[in-house]
Amino acid sequence: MDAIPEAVKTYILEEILDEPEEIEASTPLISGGILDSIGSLKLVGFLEESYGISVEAHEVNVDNLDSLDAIHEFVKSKQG
Amino acid sequence: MASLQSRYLEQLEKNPTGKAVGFIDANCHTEWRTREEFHRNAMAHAARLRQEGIQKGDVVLIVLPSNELSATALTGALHLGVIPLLIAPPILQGAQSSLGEILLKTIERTNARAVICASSLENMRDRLLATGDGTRYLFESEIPGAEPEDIAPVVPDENDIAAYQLTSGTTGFPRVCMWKQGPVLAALDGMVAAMKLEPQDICFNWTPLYHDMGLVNNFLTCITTGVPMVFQSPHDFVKKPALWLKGLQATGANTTWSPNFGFALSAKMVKDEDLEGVRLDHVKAFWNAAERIHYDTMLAFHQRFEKFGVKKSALKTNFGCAENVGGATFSDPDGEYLVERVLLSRLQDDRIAEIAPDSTPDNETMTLVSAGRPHPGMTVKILGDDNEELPEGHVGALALNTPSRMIGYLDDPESTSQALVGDLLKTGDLAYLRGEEVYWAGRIKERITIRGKKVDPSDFEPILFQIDGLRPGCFVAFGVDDSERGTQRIVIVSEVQDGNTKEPKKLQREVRAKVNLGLGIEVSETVLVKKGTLTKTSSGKRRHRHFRDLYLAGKLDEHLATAEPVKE
Repeated sequence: MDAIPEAVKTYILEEILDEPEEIEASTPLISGGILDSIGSLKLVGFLEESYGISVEAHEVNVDNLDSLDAIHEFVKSKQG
Repeated sequence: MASLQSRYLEQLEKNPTGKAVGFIDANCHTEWRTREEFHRNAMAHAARLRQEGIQKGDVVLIVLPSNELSATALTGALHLGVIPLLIAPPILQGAQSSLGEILLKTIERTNARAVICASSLENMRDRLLATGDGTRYLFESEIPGAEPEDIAPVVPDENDIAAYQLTSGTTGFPRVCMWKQGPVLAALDGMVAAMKLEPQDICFNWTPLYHDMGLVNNFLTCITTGVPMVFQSPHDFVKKPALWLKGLQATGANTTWSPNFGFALSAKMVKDEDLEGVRLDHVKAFWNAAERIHYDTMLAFHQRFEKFGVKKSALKTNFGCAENVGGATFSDPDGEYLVERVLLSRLQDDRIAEIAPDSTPDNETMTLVSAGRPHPGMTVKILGDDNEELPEGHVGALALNTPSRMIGYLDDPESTSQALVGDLLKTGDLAYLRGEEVYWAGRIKERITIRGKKVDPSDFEPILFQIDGLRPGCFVAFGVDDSERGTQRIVIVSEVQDGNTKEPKKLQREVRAKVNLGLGIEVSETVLVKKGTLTKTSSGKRRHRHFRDLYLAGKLDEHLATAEPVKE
């Protein structure tokens, strides 16, 4: 797994979830119920701080945040 | 005749160039609006609503994020004398499926004439427009869509309805509290007096405008008294809690509110380097309210931020509810909040709060935080099972004799008659008195409060009903205090259908996912039990509290369900 998905996975497991989960690159995070809306916002805060990006309100959506793969792509696109 | 509108206009007239509302961004840059600037922006919304034919007494739903747009839209709506109702928009676009149902039912129930919709509702546009009920839908990208106009204000009188507010219901659908102008003003007067809010104060608010805390305790209080208020996006706070504390420093604001979870989140997440150069000595009040106040959280917040100037005496406590419009009880504005260490067994077995001797081990005691005293003009009673008034230290139903109570729930006479009894508002909470101090001890019914948001167990029914493998209707749901998070975590216990072949883990994930998508909240744990475990009362009611006790005692383990093997 690349550095970004690995770091995101670690953050989700350590800072958001109560119980350990098996998270693969394509595991659905939002539609699979792993992240709720508050957890998603916390994750966005982590992404902004860790990767120097700014996420607009309309970008906090299922398409961008529903899997480690999607998050990886989203962060790369924001970094240009 | 006094009204929200007349008080707002008085402040505008008195000092048009005074600071009204500031909007702070994630870089701690604040854009301040003077009263006349803010009013002019609001008048563009008033003009737009008037173009749509909106008049005094019409209901307008505002489903927007908490920002300048929602604040000016609300003010513009109030200028026309309409009845506003603010509703939470979805945070995650395309993810909160139950919001659509709640919105459509609320439109129908309130006979809303217009709905101002966040861009996150764009995916519902066709569905909303298809209702064909004459309701006007204005989307975020299209508003205000009018130039500000000098529109004569419509000033209601004390007996007109000022606003509607959603609160948790027991039928899977929120109730709609109806607030009249007179009681709203009484609530604001009581709060200002109890908080000792002064014109030179500045309020800082990150709580959502659609929550009582954001709407009443902050926005309405400030615009009717001339106290400047700073808006921070709730999303910015959740993403980076340090922005709350940095914002207090950057704006000089000295009064702020948060549910308990906000204090816990800040104490846990904020790093020293986030607060470089920040001093908070000037903050006179951090009000904690809207959910159970954890003593551990109060201690942790103070210990964490004392070195940045947070005084223990600045930590304040409050109890309020939507049915009372705003805050009801307040800790001493000039002193420290009070706590009591009481004997756990006496509290649980006898419903009596008996002070524990110092030598009592901690595991035999509970430390409760006082929610303060009723504000001037209000009295508190603690009632027993037969509505008799209980003596000091006895836990019973909290009832308020209050000038600020709602007039009832819209189209729900049964619930109204349970809440409004004679001169009293029965809040549904359990509490006891010590002198004038009110100690909150729990809920009479099984409502769950997670991060200040009220959830009724019945809210889960339509969601669980959709999941194959669960016995329809055979579940309980409850909140369990989580002192680390400073809020409650949600536990659902459900019976499994005969012949279920899904693995428990798969069912648990499905519950979590569907509740998350439907209600936008996280289920911490789903316990799957065998058919027949969750016995109901003789009248067929679910026994959430009973099974919560069994869960906490570890007595559900013997009833756990397993999947039946798939037959070849």
